[in-house]
Amino acid sequence: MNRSVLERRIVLLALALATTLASLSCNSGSGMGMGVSAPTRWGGSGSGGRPPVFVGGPS
Amino acid sequence: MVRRLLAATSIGTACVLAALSVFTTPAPVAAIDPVESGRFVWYDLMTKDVGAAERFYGALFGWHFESTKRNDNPYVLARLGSNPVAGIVDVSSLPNAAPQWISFMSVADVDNTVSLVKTGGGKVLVEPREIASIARAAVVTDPQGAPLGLAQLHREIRGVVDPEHAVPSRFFWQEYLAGDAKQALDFYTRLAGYQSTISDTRLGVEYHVLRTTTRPRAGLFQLPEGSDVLPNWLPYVLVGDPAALAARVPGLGGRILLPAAPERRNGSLVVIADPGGAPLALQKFPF
Repeated sequence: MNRSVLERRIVLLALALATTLASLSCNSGSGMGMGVSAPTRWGGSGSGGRPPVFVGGPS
Repeated sequence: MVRRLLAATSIGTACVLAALSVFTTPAPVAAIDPVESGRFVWYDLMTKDVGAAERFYGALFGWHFESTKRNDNPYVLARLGSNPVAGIVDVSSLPNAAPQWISFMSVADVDNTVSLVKTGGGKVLVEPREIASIARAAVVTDPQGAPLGLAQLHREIRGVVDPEHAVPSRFFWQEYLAGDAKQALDFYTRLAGYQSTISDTRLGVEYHVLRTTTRPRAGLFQLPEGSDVLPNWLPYVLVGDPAALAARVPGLGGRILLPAAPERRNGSLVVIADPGGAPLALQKFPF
């Protein structure tokens, strides 16, 4: 095999490895992903229940 | 040849380090302690229709989605631009699962915190487990039945910022809607070390601000007698015009639970449900 072709292939291989590792890094960057079953209820307007009274707010 | 190989390796290493640094280096404006207990750091949606959720949140907030896995289970990661913003978990295999957002609170030691939950009258839905290289995490319900995620982060999650640096279409605040506000205050001040102050008493409701040593992290208030809302942690997304955005919700398959109203924070708040029924607050801030 031509020496310059071999060198080029090594360069491409290194870049491909870097891209793959970067991609793996992105995929594992965040998130918990645990499915849970828990009750919830939010009637909202027209449900007949008394809605929450929102005072205050973010600070 | 050796020089070129070394150069190629250096380029590769630099690319990897650059990619990794994106997740480990907080932005200058967000120089915050990633493990400060009581800080909310992540949000996962439980839904039985992942496709409908993607279409809804994609259209409403401009999020885009990436199918991935967490501990070999399917998991959809939502991003705003390049930053991760939330996750979507398919719970269609869980017969009694209710559609809802689970907020994750940062804790210093998740195993210890889960023990505190148990002794304080709460229950464990998912025992502490390692999540890739991200965190050791668990999901619990508090004594009033509200679910909450607990995350002992191993590193900073990119894009998580405090309200003063909040970005539109990202989560930035959360409130505990309590069946028993006094009991909830006792429980959460013990669990996360919060200090609480009352910031508002209008309309006969005390709004408690839960603070860590550095800043306010959440609000807490009492649900009215006869409410049809179960105690829950309600996550807040920052938006510029809640009423205008909410007007699009029915057309996207969601519902407006509480519309904008002058008496409700000067019209700066809307509570919606996504197509699956998961509640979510849209808030303009400052308001």
